[in-house]
Amino acid sequence: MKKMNPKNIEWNLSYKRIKKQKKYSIQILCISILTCAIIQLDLQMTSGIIDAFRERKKEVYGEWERIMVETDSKDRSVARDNPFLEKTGEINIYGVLEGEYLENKQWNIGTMDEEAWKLGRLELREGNLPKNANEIAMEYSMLDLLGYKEKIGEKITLRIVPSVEFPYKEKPVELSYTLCGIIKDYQINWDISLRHRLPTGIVTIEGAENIGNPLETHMLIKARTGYETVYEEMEKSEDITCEIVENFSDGSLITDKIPYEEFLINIRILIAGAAVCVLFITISHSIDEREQFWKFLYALGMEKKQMFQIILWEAGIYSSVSIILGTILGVGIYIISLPVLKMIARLNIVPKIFGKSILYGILWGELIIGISYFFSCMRLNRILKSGGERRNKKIKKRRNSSISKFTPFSIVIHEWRYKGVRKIVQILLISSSISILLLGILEVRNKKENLEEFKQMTGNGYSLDMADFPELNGMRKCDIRLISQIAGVESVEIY
Amino acid sequence: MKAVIQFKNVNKKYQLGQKSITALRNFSIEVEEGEFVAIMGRSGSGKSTFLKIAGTLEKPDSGEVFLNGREVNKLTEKQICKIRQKHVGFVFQQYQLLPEYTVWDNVCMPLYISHDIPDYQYLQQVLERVGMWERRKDYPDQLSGGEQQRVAIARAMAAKPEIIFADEPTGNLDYYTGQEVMQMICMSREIYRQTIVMVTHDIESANYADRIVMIEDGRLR
Repeated sequence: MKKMNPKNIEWNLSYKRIKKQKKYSIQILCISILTCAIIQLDLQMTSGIIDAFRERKKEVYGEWERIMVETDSKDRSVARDNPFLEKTGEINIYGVLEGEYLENKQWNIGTMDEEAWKLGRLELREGNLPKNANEIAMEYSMLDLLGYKEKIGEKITLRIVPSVEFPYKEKPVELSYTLCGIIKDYQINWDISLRHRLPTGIVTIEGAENIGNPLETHMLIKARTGYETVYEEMEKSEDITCEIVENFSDGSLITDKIPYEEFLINIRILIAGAAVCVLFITISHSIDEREQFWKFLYALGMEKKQMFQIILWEAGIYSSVSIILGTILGVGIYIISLPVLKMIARLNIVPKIFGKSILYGILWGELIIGISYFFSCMRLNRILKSGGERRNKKIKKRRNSSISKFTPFSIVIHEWRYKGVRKIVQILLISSSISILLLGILEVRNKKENLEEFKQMTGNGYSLDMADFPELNGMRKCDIRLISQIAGVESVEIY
Repeated sequence: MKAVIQFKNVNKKYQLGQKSITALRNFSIEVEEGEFVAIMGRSGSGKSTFLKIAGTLEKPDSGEVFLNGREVNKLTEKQICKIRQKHVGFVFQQYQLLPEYTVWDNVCMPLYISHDIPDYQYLQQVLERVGMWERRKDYPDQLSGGEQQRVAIARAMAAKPEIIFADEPTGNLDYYTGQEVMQMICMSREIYRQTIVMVTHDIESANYADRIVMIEDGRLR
């Protein structure tokens, strides 16, 4: 005969009960698995939308978060050695094209290292970056404005002033280069990010030396995830003397609010609340049904904490199984429903599983099941306290019993003695559920309408808001000409 | 002979909605060591309430209750649980065997709850005395009513308690089986020198006791 370990009696009692109560176990597991799956789906959707939204922002702003302007060697050294900076990219400006310029935004000629290129999210439309002193890669709309045909191998002659200050202090030098690459347009982004620090004509170091000495060196920087406070520390640091400016601060086009995020959070809270109520009802009912069992154990000398341990083991088993299966189910549904989500959100959501969402999903699952069991344990406490007292089993008639009949919440709180509070809570729960749903539907509809509007104006959902620049007297012809050069823009309208 | 159970002016009321029902009124009784006392009375007279208070399952509203010289009201919850684990055994009318466990595990249950290792020899002896040793690997649903009650008696003795409380132990049994069970209770009292307090409606069972106590309207008659 298998000997039982007396120290495991609580676990043993719990396990045997779970095996015996098949119907109850299936009920708890179904509710928990479904809840965990929906929560996980919600979290993955939120992360997917946030991720796609950030990627879209990066296409406009670039990946860099700050730019160190006019650095000296010490500034650059401190930045490179900083362990909290994930990436640093160096830009050297050697001169500016003679002629028309946009406010204080120069048509710079200079060098960029590979990291600066990646951080800036620049892309080549055609060709490659320069490999020798005679080659130059130029930004598309600048080529067009200069009157070149945008042909790789074309000979380009530029009059470059070895100065970035206006009025120019020095005379221009005339240099010829072979066009080796055409960079995709980024001039439109000058108004919304500090891209005027980026060279619109990129040469090698040897090619730049023909112009003169480097006039300005900037560094694009990006912090490691979770260490964003490094920027403030760098600004306060005495080792850094240059200016550090934030990317996309003023004049940003895209609202920083992630679309649909609030709606998804509200859904998550609603599902969690409903799950807690339903689980509480089921678990409490099971505890009540086992009243004789608890009283029998009490009579044999079992302490309350041991009885709570029995319930804790039960909660542990159910939560482990539900969370594992619910997470797998939620992630699976997310992957399958991605095409639909992309269509609704109009974002390029990458089929990726987010580890953080899985972790949060597990925490949510533990919280939901934990809260349900915690409140149910109070019923056990009541059973043991009442002992053999005869309870009044009459259920008093309530006024307005129609509300109680149709709401599941009435079962949760029907034992509360305070009738007024009970009614208020019922009404609050029902009205908040309806409000969340309605607000969510409104938000989704609003977002859709906004995106449609932007898309009509710009083709990619972006618009220029000149109201942020009051010193300008409306749009200039060159601005409209520039905007109209952007691939995909069919028309430009001032409003 | 020392008194193992003492009630001094114990009162107990129950609230039933707006009504208040008095189960025990200035109830005083002493049960001596090794004594077998049968408590009789009509339904609602307070017999079960007396048993529950004596067995530390409930606390009185007023008065003093002593078990083995210790006042129960002054004990902590943990101490009371220890008393139930080590010093008190219960035999219920409904047997209350756990259907998921074998006869052996059911008998050892009080020891498992107190995290004690069962005394294998002693428990074998007990089971043999109640005639259930051969059935130790069976489950309660494989036993008859009388057999289940015998297992319940063995369980009540598992922790070697000084006092056994029996709540209508023959209530669900036929006459002959009931007599067998009563004989077993008496036998355990003789061998293990336990004090037995039994609540019963059955006069035949009550006749096995040293003393019959009548309760009426919460008082000793």
